[in-house]
Amino acid sequence: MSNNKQIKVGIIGLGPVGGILAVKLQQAGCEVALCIRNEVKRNKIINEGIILENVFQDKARFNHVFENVDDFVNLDLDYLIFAVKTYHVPDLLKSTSALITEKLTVVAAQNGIDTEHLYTSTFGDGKVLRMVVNFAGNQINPNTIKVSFFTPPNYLGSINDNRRAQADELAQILTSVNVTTEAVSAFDLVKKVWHKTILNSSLSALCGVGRLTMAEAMSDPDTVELIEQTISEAVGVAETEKIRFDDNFIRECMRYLKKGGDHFPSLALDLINGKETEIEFFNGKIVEYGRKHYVRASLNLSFTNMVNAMTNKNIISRMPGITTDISRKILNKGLTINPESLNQYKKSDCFLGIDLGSAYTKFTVIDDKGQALFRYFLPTLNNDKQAFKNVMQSISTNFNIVMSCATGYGRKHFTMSDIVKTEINCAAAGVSLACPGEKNIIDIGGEDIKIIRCDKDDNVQNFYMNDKCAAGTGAFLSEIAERASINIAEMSTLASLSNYEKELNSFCTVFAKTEIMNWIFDGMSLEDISRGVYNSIANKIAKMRIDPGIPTYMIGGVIAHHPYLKQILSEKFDLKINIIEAPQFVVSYGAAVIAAKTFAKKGKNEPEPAEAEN
Amino acid sequence: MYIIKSTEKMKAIMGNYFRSLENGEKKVAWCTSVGPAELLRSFGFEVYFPENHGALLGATRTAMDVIPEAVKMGYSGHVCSYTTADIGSYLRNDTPLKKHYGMKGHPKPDLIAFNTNQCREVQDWFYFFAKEFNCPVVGITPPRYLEEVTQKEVDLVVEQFKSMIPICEQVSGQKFDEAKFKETVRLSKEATLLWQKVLKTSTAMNAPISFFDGTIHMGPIVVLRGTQIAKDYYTELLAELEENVKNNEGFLPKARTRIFWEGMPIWGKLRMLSDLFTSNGAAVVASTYCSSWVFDKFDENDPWNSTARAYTEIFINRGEKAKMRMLSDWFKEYRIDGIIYHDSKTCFNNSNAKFGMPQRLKDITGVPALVIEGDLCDLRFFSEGQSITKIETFLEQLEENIVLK
Repeated sequence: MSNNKQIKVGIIGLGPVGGILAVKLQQAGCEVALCIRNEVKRNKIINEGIILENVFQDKARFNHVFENVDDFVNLDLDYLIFAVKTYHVPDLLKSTSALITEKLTVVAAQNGIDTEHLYTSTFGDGKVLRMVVNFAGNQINPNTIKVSFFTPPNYLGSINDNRRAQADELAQILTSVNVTTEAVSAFDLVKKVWHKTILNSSLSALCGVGRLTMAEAMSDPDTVELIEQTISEAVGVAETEKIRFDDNFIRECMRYLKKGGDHFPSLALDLINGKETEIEFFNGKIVEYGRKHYVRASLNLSFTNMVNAMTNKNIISRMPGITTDISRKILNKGLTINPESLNQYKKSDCFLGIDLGSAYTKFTVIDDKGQALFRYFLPTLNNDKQAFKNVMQSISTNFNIVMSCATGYGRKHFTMSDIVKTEINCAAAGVSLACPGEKNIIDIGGEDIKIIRCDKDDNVQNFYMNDKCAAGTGAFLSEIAERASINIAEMSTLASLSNYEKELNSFCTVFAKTEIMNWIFDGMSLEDISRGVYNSIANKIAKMRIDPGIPTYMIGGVIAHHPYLKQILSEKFDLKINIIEAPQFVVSYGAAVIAAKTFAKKGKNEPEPAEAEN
Repeated sequence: MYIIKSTEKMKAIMGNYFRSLENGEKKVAWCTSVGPAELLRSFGFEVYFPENHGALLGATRTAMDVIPEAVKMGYSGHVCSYTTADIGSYLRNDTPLKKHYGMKGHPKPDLIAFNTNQCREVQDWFYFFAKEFNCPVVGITPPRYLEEVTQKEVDLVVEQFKSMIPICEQVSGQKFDEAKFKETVRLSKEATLLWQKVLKTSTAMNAPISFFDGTIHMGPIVVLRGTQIAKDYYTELLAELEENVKNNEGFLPKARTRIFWEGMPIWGKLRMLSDLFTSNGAAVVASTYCSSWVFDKFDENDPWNSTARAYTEIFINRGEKAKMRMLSDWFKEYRIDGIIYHDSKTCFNNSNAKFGMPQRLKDITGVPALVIEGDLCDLRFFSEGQSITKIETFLEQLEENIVLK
């Protein structure tokens, strides 16, 4: 092995593939240099070396560990191995031209079809080897890799056979340390690449989209069928490229995949972790070659587009230029006025109300006359903080918000508003602008019911709200619908088809569910069950105090989605009940109204400097 | 930040009081908080007040841990949570008296005395402990729900007070000494008049003591009335508060509304509620609860009649008309903008929102009312989110009304 000591290898990328190659080549007597950008990882490898566990159990230390590719220039490398993800290659190539010497051989150690094309424009066909990698692992910590499998052999080939000798040399070196690698001709290489890619494509994207490990995917008949059909598509596309596999190929693939472990393939891990993927070179290439020959590869196309869509969703909020599109989408969705008149509101005074309710956060923007300009909502307990920022960004970009008001249960934790008011006073303000004078307001929300009485001056004179349990609220309806297997979107229509007067006795949501079970066992129809649930809510409200001599209005998310409930309440109370327009937004609208009034009041007390000058 | 400097002294006084219950120098008598403490002290008893322990269990939020013990014995979870917490604490031998005051547990009583002027639960509560400790129990059961307290009612209570004498003599080993009784009544009167003045300092626009502070500073008037210690403490506290009034210093200088609290404190949420009102610009300046220990009718020259009358005339023992009259007077005196009724789940007797009084009182006085539901000790009956929204809505409403005036 004395000859190997003179062979110098640079490795870029110290993920599992790069790490395994680094340790094994060093073990074989090569002089291995590493390029590691991450400082923590770099320092740990400098101090402790790299450790392999499980299938390979080795460790090695390294004398040359660098931060930048440029640092390789003094080493006069024989081989430069790229063990990075394909999407990192273009950037890295910008700084490798200085490394090119007559003897340098470049190794592309990524799987996927046509990955070698990334290198040929920089290095030329003559200098590039392509490796088909048949081992993998998991990074346990920055310098430890658990090798999950090795299915020999790996394949190594020269793109145009000019570097056949180097392929032979490197293959022998790896084989000498038990990483069996076979050198093949350029034409055989293509077939090996397609073989490997078909295996990867059949299952990796599925595992990522479906959150399945390889073992899970290969044990469910439904996903096994998908995998087999995906392979079949790919075999058909390969055939159009004159790459033919024998009759048992699909069966051999399925047998091979069945031995897959209970872990996620690399592409699936990238997708799950919100990173970029190599789908372009896996299923994406199969689709591309299919198009070239007018052959449909629908399953591969589905997986490619699905992975791309999921990737874009993850990445989109971090890409600067893309926010304009999001803002536009939000604006288009929330706008309640003609878009053509939008420009005037960038300069005139606008007001924002935000209702951080127990279920949803509602936004309403109004002008100084109280006209609603924009309405939007998000789930309140949404881990996607970016979604909230996007809405606020869209509002501030398109409207001149001079004052804002927060309300709802989350109001005290929301620090971006100018004033804070309770939802009861906001509800009164919201209804009163359109319906001045004495009135009752019934607000059925996600977790509570409020009855509000306003006097002739629109002030809250009295109010009541439940504080014992969630019976009769949105949470109650969701629980009951789930128990009764009623599509909650259809509940209102179903109830309108029933004349039955069954009622729940329990106030408690949990006990009410038990009663519903008994109704179901008795064979009660969905229509009767739906009406029974509404009757129970009406009874709940009947126990609260409503003045029959004045108008009554309903607001809140529940009445927005269950309009037939109004009919039942009208019958029970023998009074006319009106539903306010966009009832689920009335509280945030009222918050905006209060912001406008507060701003107007301040305007009288604090004249602008310009006015003072006048 | 505004602080009442006397608080540290009060803590020392309370600590000494609790430790004296176990040092064995005197016999121990248990007594309800508005019971005949003066008569007991005249026999030389050290007097212990179980409600004070109940409040401690509530304030330390340990009540919910021990109430289930009493419930297992058959006490409903819906009766007085002082009762269930105190009995549960005893059964489990787990009490904050150990951690806070170094006591071994409940102080062993030689005699137990109750007065049902505050509620009937006290007799079931105290009979439990009399049986556990195998000691005599005596009870005062005055007429209830009185609109007027006449001499006839006073005579009934005097008779019951006097019937305690033989048992007290037997247990204490001392003969009844009228001179000592007069002295304890005099000391109680002077302390309680001082306490009244302490509370009235908050009639000032910049009030120096809030309801929440009051629930802390009332400790000595409950457990040490009839002693020189209580009188001395309230002399000092009053001087401090009057100085603050003179200097225009108060717990909420820019209060936008002035609030009356009716009903029991929510012991485990005092801090949360205090901060809630403060952050909403509302000064809670008066309460029925803290006023319970004002016995301005005490007269050492007529000890039997005056103590019987004072203990029967208290707010909690009165009929609705009398209560409404007392509340109306307090509204004027303290310039109240709104009243909050605490409808306590387990304290029926000190919850005045159940029979329509809030609406009738509002019609008469014009003072808006809010009812919140909770409990003195059992926080499982308190919905914090909904209650905060109700209180904040009410306060916003009051501010709006004031602007309109």
